[in-house]
Amino acid sequence: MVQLLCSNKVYEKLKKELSKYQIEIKPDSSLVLVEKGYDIPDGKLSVVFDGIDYMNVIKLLTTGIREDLHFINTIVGFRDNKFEVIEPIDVFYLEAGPNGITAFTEFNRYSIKETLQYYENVWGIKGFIRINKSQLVNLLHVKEIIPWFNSRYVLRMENHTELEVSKMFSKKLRSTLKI
Amino acid sequence: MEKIHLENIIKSIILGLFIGIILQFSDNTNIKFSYRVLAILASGCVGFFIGLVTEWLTAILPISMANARTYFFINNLIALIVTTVIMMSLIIITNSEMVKKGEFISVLLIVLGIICLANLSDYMMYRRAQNKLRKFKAMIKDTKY
Repeated sequence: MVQLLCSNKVYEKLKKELSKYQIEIKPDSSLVLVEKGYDIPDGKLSVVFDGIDYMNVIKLLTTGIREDLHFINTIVGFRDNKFEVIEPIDVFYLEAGPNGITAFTEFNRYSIKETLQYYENVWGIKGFIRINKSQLVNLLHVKEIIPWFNSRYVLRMENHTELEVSKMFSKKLRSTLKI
Repeated sequence: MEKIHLENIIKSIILGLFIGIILQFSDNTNIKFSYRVLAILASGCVGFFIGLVTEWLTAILPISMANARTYFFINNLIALIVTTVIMMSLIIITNSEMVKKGEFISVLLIVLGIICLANLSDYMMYRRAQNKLRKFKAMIKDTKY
């Protein structure tokens, strides 16, 4: 459980995200998340953050500093009226659409729960990276990075699917791969 | 216009300035230093126009046709065509004294040589990206799975 000292806007966002991880908000908690500009309470362990970085706070709380300790090895996907267990290593990419999140494996596609942001946080350490507003790709299954004009890239996957890395996210790809 | 990337245009300006400097070193005629500086700045402006035109043209290209060969082919083709056209236009507009064909060709060769080198380094970056990807995949596989 944590105490929150922040603006209403950030409070609502944090509340929503924390509930996903079953983290309770309690005013008397010894751990306090303090938005920059608010007074740091005495005698309590405080994490001070910038309002814009609220997702990083969630990441810190859920994965900790040693990220490798946290792993979610399987997810349940829905396909052809049945549920199947999928491992992250088998997922080529995730796509957000009007009907929710779809996980694409080499040959199949599954409907899965949660949001792209969630998987980006949890599976980021497994090589998943956001490449545009609606897709999260597993770099393990990228066969080739094709440069394209206007600072864009195309990722050719092992199953010959081609995914576009938008200009906005190409910086992240470059920094992840250190290119 | 939103697809146009300012960073690439700046790179083009820098390349233009670099070409200008190299051309000044290769030019043995005795002219004022200020003229040389002006020539370098003009070269930077040419770089800017080339960058702008290239970015504008390539923004139109659909990403569905993306593959490495097409990228490098188009990249080189645009660079060569735009550079040649701009150099020719500059000579015609300024009614340059550089009438001797030999002089023009040597300048053109230097310019094209530098552009080819720039494109070669672009290709090296492509190869580097593939290597980095391989290393990243190996690292992730070893440690996270």
